[in-house]
Amino acid sequence: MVSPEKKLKEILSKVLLLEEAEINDDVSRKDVESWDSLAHLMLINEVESAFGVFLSDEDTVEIDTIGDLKRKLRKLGVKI
Amino acid sequence: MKKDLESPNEAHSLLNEILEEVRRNPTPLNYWNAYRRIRKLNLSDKGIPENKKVKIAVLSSFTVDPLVVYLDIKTRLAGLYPKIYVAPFNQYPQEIMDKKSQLYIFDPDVIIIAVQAESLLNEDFLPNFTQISDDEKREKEKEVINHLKNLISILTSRTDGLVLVNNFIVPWFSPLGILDNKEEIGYRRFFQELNEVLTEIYRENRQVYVVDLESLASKHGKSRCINYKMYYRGSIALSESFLPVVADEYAAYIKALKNLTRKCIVLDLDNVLWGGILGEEGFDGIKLGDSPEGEAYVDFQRLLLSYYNRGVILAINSKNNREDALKVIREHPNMILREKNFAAMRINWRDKVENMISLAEELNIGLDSMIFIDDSPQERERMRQALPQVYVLDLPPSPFEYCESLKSINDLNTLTLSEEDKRRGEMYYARRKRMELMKSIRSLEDFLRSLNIAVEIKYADSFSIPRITSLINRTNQFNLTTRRYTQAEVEKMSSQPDKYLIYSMRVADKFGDEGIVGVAIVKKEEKEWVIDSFLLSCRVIGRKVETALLAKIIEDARKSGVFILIGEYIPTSKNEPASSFYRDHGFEMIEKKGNMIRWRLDLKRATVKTPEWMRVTYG
Repeated sequence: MVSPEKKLKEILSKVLLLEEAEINDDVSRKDVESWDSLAHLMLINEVESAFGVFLSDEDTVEIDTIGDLKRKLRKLGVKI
Repeated sequence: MKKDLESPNEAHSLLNEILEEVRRNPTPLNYWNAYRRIRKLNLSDKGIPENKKVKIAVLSSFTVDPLVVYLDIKTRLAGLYPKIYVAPFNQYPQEIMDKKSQLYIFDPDVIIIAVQAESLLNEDFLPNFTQISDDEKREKEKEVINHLKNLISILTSRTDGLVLVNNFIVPWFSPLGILDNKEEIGYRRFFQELNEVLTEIYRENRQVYVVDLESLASKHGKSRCINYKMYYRGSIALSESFLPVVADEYAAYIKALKNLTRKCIVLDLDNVLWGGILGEEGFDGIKLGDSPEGEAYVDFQRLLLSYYNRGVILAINSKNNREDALKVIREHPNMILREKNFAAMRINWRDKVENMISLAEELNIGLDSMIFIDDSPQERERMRQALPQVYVLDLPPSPFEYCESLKSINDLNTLTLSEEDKRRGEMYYARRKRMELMKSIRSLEDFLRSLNIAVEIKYADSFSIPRITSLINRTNQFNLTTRRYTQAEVEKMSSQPDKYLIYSMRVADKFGDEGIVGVAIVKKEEKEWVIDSFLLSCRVIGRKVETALLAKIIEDARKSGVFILIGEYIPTSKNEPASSFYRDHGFEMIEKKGNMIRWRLDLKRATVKTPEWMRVTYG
């Protein structure tokens, strides 16, 4: 089994074109050039499919950093 | 985080690396990633040949950016360098109507119109459907169709680009439930009628093609065509699993437009056309009909025969004893494909790569127009490595899956299909017989005389234009300028006889009628005529029929009081066979313009005569 951390890292790196080493909780949308609205949509969709969760409109808007995303996932019961 | 770019070469090798990754592992995430990374490369199109570039405009009623991801990568995987313009969200009518819009500035080769019926119907169409009268429904149908038809007619009056318009996905749901087809116009019927009308309007049009999104959706499964999360969050009307299917379909048209069409399927025999190893099981032991696997092989042959009948060339490349294999092909009661269906055969114990090269030579076609089907993964890998131009089909291990696998190839399409095209297989067989005769006769002239060649030269008309267009776009070897024109462009030229003359030439001999195999386009200028295009199908190279066509052009020029004929030659990697054409017919070289060489014939001093043994008629 792939750990949730590893799964998330892969999604983040592919969707946002980040090196795995660049990924940490503080990385935010304004730091990453390729994290535009379409990429955000892709990210939410991929994360939902990968972890079998549903992120509400509010959740989607409130995610501004990778840390935010992880917090939302934890709230939905993902052990990350 | 941001990598700065380096040399163009480096960018291109990076491009290939990215494409290779997504080719190996084509997940939605990898498509996305590849697309975004390629965009960051800021590739310049310097040095990329014109015929590999393609400009695609997408006009849509929904967010198409995800479609662009797939369209971009799929066309790149096909060897093209796409530039894609996306019209602003749901503004396609304005873009089409405004003469100065970005769409026309972009000057696309291909225009995709992806409009959902839902966007053209009122929001209360579904809720009220069961209440509205049949007349109102008909009125609605008209509205939807007229909206598209009017926009497309404006579009085609302003651009020569190929227009691909989606038809509508017939909903699987109906508010009428099981009674849907008890109504005169049920909910599904409504959309079906839209599709029928749309298809009929453009059936004979050679610039506008209706893309059968409905069939694609059925194949994919309609409930999987939308990802509602993406639909509501981003107005993305096609799901990530359906997007590649749709993009593949567009790519099929684009490949046909860019002449990346494959012409020939090269087949292994054992475990491809029949089950088992002939050398081990023997004539009576192979599986062909009469058993579950045997039936699957018969069906596979039937499918191949349907391709043959529409003009795809079949050939054999097999390690076998020639006589044993021929006995099966000729005599096995359940064989569907027979000797006459194969344009060329290599049944021997040589290396298959070597055989492939010699097949390409014999058939006079490029390796890049061949598909190789073999059950052995080792043979396939060897072919891929040695001849990357050849398309190697990943044949599934079970013969039950062969047909589906072959159907998935979308490289065999052409934008037009003439009667000549459909008879291509037959003609190749005649050609093989002709070559046998040639070996038995000593001089070339005696051979040509013995063929009883008859030539018919005509001006282009509505019957011949599809075939003429197909020749213009497919002929590579005996093609003086390799200028490609769409059917719409040919039609336009042909409607201006004061500016252009378009000739078609039909050739027959005692082995059969080759159909139209020669084309010339002459541009009339005041004092001189310029041969803009002159080409000959590779099937008739070496029979001196080109001389007859040239002689006719000269005769026409004289009759019009024009005495200077200019011939142009633009060398390519493939048209060496045509390089000495003008010199051989007495033209003088006058200038070089870029890589084009211009030749001149003064008709007051020289002329060209048709060989006396050739019968020529003019239509």
